[in-house]
Amino acid sequence: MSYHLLTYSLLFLPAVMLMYQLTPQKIRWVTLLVTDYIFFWLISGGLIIWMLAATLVTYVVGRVIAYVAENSTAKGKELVRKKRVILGCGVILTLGMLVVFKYLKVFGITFIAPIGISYYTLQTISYMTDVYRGTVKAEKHIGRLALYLSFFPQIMEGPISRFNETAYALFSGKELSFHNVAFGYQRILWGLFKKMLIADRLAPAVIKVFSGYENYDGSAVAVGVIFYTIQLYMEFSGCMDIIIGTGEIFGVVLPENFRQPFFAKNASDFWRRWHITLGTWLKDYVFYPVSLAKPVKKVAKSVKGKFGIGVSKFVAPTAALFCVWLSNGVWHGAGWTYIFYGMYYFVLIFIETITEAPVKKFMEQKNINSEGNVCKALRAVKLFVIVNIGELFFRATSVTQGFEMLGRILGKFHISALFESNLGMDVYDVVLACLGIIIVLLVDILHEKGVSIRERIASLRLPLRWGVWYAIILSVIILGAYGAGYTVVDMIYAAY
Amino acid sequence: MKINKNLLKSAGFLLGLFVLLLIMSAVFHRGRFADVYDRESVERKINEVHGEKDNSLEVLFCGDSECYSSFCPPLLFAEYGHTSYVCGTSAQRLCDTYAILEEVFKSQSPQVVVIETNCLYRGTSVDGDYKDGVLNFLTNKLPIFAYHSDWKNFVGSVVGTGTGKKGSNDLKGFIVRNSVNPYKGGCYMVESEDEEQFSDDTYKYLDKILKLCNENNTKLLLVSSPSPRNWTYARHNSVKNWAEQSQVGYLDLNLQNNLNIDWDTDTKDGGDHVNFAGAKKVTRFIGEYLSDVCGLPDLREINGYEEWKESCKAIYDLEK
Repeated sequence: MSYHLLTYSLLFLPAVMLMYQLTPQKIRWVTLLVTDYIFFWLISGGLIIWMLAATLVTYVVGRVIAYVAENSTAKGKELVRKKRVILGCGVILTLGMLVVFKYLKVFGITFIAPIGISYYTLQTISYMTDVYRGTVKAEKHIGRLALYLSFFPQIMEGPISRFNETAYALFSGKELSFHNVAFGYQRILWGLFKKMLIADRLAPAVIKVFSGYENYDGSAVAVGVIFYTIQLYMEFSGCMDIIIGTGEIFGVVLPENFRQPFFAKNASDFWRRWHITLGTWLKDYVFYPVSLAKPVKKVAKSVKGKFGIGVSKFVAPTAALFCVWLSNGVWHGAGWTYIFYGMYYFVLIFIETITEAPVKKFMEQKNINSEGNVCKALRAVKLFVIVNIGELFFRATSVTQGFEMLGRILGKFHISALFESNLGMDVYDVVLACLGIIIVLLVDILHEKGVSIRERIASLRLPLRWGVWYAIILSVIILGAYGAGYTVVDMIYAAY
Repeated sequence: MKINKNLLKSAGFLLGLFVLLLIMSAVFHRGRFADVYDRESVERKINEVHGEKDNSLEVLFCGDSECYSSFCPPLLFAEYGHTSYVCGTSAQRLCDTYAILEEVFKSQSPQVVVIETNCLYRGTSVDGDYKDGVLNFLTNKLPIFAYHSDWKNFVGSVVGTGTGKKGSNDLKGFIVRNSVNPYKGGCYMVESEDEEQFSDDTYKYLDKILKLCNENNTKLLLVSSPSPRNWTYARHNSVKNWAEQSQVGYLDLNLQNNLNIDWDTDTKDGGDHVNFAGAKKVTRFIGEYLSDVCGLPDLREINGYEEWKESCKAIYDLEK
């Protein structure tokens, strides 16, 4: 079972909605929780035991921290130390499961991982840490915590939500409303459009280029890399649309994971718009703790003594930034390509940070309008190149392959060879993919301007409104990349 | 009251969608090849073969990607003087093989039809075989889902670039694959009595294809290309049994040591398909068989095959 399958949206989801609606409001959360576990079981079978174990550990740690905070005779630093020990035990236990399933393969020990372990583990850590920090009250009802950790639309690809964002809405058992169901399904349809019309159409070219780049001219390799970046965006954001749309049906507002990332100003802004919930998680649970850690402060102090405040002010943020990007890379998997990917963004964002002030000064001196159209266009091109290089290494099977592909793009680039390359897509596929990308780009522009397209469509007169939805549904059915000659590609981020 | 209004609206929307799907299904189910899986590839292949001079082909190769990776018609002509065409298409199903042969027999009188056997273990009919049960159901019940890609033919016929155009392919359907990705799995054809049965539909289509070949006085030959990733002794046994019962020739190249396939150099993808180096070995083996066992004549010095000599040049250019 995957979110992009019609079995999910046309059979599984309606069945869950029916069961949910028929259940009395007080125990609707039970229906949802049973659905969560059935969904998990359908994908990972008996490995659900690890999910249950993580839930239990998280619950107990949360309760113990709360108990210690309320009843301990210790005060001040001693109390903090006690709470920290309990939190540490919890984090070691849940993170330990992730390490066993995801990273022991480095030593040749391979286990089949429970689905979504990378996502729900981060949620367990955020909950336990928030209880430790006192920003969230330890949950007494284990059902509410279990719902938060296992909500079926989130389990495979996130978004990584916080306890306060979803737990209470999930538990409330709100009645399904016509508006929520209609809007939820509209968002699911938009996700299917991106996935079936664009992402899966580009997939054959991506596979061909990355698995046989030595047979292609640099121009075709460049196109393959660009196609991969677009495929990843369409596929991941499309699946997010399906997931968030599902949440909307049940009245649960899941956090957005994408906000028009290609309209970002620079690499750090890009990461505030791409896989947002991972970025904010790393900011809250890695960046801040590291930058405020005593040893880091100590180093910053000593640097200040030797080199002055101009240098020392970068020490703590840089150390924290390094940890964030190392964590980002490692979270994606136990491969050097992921670590390289993380370090690539660390270096880029570090350079952006230290050059921000001098560049701004230079622009002012030269009277260059940084918000002018030329600057904006150059920035967009620069960002697109940066993102594509990052995705090249992210998708490559090894760092060496990444450099070889990059070398081919830079050293053996002949645009004429592109038209002789067989990328596994005919001219119709290319035209259709381009049209699809233009439509998504237009929608992104409107979203960037704060226009809610679904609200606009909803305000149209009925024949026109239905016409729009019929057109989108038929375009997915007729123009979707499925059936003979195509492969329905599994969700990319479910593998991380 | 409001709920009822919303329910009525929803029902109206779904009814309208259903009617639209029925209308679109009727539109997409028109014309020939109603019972093929990949209509676009079938039409393209038929038009390619129709681009060849009538009754000029001695051999037709059918099957999936194993077929167009393994059999090289220009090389077969260059070294043995046999004209042939690869009618294999990606993931070809037997219903598509049958449709191609039925059409091609109208303009060609091949002496031998070779079916590469990997396609016997694929889906056989027009029905979908996705992991997605609902998509399978819709594909089987509503032609719009099965034939949705026909919009390409429609657009092509309007702008004149579609599959409706006749035109042969320089390499006669063969696809050159030069990359090398070794197979390291060792021996894969371990002798056993096991059988991996075909589906009932496969038997049905094999019988139909055999009947079609017999009606056209064409010999049917089954060939299993070397492929550790796809072939097993259990599959060999099932194909051999059907071939013996039906008195059809069968060559399993996975068991031919004198083929000298080197799995370090002759495969493009770790033993799934042979690359160009492997294809040359396979084609030479088949060439010997077609000359010695099937008795096909050498047409190299016969007038009227000049265009074939051009395609031989193309293959020699590739070797340089």
